[in-house]
Amino acid sequence: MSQEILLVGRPNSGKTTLFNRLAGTNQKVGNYAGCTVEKKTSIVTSPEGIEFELTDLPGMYSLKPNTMDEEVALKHLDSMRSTAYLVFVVDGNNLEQELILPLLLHHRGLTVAIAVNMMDEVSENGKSINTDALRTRTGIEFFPLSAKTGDGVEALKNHILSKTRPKNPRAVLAPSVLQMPEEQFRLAHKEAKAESKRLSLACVTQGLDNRLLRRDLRIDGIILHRLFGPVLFFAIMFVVFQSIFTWASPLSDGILFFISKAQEVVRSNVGAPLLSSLLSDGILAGVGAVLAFVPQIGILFLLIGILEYSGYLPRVAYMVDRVMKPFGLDGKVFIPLLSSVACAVPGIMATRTIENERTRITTIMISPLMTCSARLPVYTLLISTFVPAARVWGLSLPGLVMFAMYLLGTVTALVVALILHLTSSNKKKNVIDMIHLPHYRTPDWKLLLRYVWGRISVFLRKAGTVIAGMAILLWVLLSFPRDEAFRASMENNLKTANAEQKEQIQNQIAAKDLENSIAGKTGKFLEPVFRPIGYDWKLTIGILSSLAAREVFVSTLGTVFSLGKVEGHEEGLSATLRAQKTEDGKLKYTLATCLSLLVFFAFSLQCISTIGVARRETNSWKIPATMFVYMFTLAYTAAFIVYQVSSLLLK
Amino acid sequence: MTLLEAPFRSQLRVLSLTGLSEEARMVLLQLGVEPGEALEKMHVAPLGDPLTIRIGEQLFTLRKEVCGLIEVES
Ligand SMILES: Nc1nc2c(ncn2[C@@H]2O[C@H](COP(=O)(O)OP(=O)(O)O)[C@@H](O)[C@H]2O)c(=O)[nH]1
Repeated sequence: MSQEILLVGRPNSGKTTLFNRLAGTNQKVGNYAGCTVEKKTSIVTSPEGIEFELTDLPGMYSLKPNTMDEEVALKHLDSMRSTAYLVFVVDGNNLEQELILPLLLHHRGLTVAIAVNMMDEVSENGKSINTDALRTRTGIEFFPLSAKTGDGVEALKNHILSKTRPKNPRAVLAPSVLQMPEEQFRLAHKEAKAESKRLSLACVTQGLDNRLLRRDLRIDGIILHRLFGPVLFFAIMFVVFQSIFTWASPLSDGILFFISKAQEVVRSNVGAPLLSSLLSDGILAGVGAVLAFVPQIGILFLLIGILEYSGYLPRVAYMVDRVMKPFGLDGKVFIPLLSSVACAVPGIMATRTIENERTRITTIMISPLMTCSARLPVYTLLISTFVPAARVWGLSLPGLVMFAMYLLGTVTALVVALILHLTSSNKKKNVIDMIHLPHYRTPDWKLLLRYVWGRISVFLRKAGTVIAGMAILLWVLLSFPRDEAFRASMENNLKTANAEQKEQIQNQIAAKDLENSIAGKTGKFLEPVFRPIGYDWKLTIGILSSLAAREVFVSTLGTVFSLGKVEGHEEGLSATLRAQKTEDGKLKYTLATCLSLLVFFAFSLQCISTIGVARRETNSWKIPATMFVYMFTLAYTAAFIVYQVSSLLLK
Repeated sequence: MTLLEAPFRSQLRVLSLTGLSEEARMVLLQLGVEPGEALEKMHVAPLGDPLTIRIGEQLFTLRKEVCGLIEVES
């Protein structure tokens, strides 16, 4: 069995940076059992060939947890207490505070070494730390280093990988640190604190001027300024939003362009029609559906990385905390929710920056309610088809409806958050809502790129496979079985047809294929379910196929109504929709149908990519299944009320 | 006076944390907020809540309702 080495430390102590240095590219990302807390491990091998398992524990302040994630870290630490080697990463700038926990655990008998990180900043700050004296006084190994520059990391690495490193003799018998009675903990803490004070008086030479803190305060004076702070905040949030909303789309289009070229190559080179269709429309399209998210994720995490490493991200959380507080949320949910206005996939991935599991899951659950860009083609089609281009108080009615849809999504998301807050047990909430504001720093490009690549590769490996799999499955359901006899007879007609007829025939074939497919039959079968909210089987098929991605609703309607490809010229589809009649000659689709569809799309989780990424981020199907069910119920109920009421009113 | 009423940018000493739950006191204890320790109130967020507090050489934000339960003196 390999020996465990745990990296322990406060948030922002530089644990992750050090972990990356020690582990290199050999990293595994998983989850702690039964929860969404990310577990990062790596197998490191010593020159003699001994294997060590290095784990980067979630950040924690001490033995009485404040957040769910701290609790998970503590439990893991406690279960390993007699065997694991604990490497504490402490911020050398704040030694007196940060030594308390490792000293306390050392006193309890755990095997501890201390990496005094940020030594570059310590000397910049005019301080010095005598680690030799610390070592002799405590008997603990101290390693001065800088995870950022790499200085001193080698010495730590050689030490933890050596066979001869000392073990606390009391480790085997070390009592649980979690179940320490309150009084005993207070005493132990007091003792460790006193020792830490003595140690830092003896071994730390204070700089005269506290340069770093004073610089932080000066910058805060501007960045958190009552007037300038919010202005800068809106400017930066605008850039973040624009970047995923608009800047990513040329890149996604580029990827989809390559996919479509590859599809053409397959179609013209693979003879067997079924195989060719499976390769191009099934597999390549599924892969494309996944790859198309990569630019958004890459750009968003590049920006989040810059904001986080520079120290601005926690300050964003600080500034918006007040807005989120009434809904039982905190400032950290802002960026994930903002990202979800572009797309819930990167939005849900961004919830990684939230340290409390309950808040993180709440945010994941409400993210898909934010009005994402995939809803826009659906909203645009519906509004332009059915909402009269009238003016209300000088404003265009279609514009107002569109605005109302954005508002509806946001308000509903916050209300759902509030309900989840009111119904969840106190145990899962933070004891105290606090945010650590780290020093302002210039981001390190290498770290940043590694961070971005880490997110992208996790997405591709863990979520991508699920999403591509579901996309391919959905394609099969929408394409098979085919009515081969009908196809054969139509293809006969094709031979004699002119160009215009040809297109018509092909559109008819596509419509018939869809109608005959499993999904098509399911749509017909489910028609009674959707009739109370105003949909016939054609709209129902649209709803089913839009599970692939909401905007697919539009192209599916194009196919169902034998119009072929409608992207870019939706007027034809609009006219067709408006002209549909029921058997008794009345208009089939009305404003009531439109409103019902609008609220249905606002609330329903019509997106397998979101489902896939939620499954990856929560490590089980439970949360995505819950999301799908609650959103569908909400969507159906709201659509029912809207359809019935507006049908009455509009008569 | 409470931390909420205390003046900005002046050295304060914690007197008591009564009114806070046992768990909350533990969390604060670990941050270095306990009777006898020094702290300083630095900023208030643009919307009036939370506040930034300097504890040792680090900055933390605390919400108003917590600050209102921390008794301090200058
Ligand atoms: N100056 C300096 N910055 C560091 C050092 N180690 C980490 N950082 C920075 O400190 C911040 C927090 O680091 P991170 O590894 O994410 O901390 P974690 O929360 O403990 O995992 C990042 O901006 C790092 O770039 C160091 O040795 N020197």
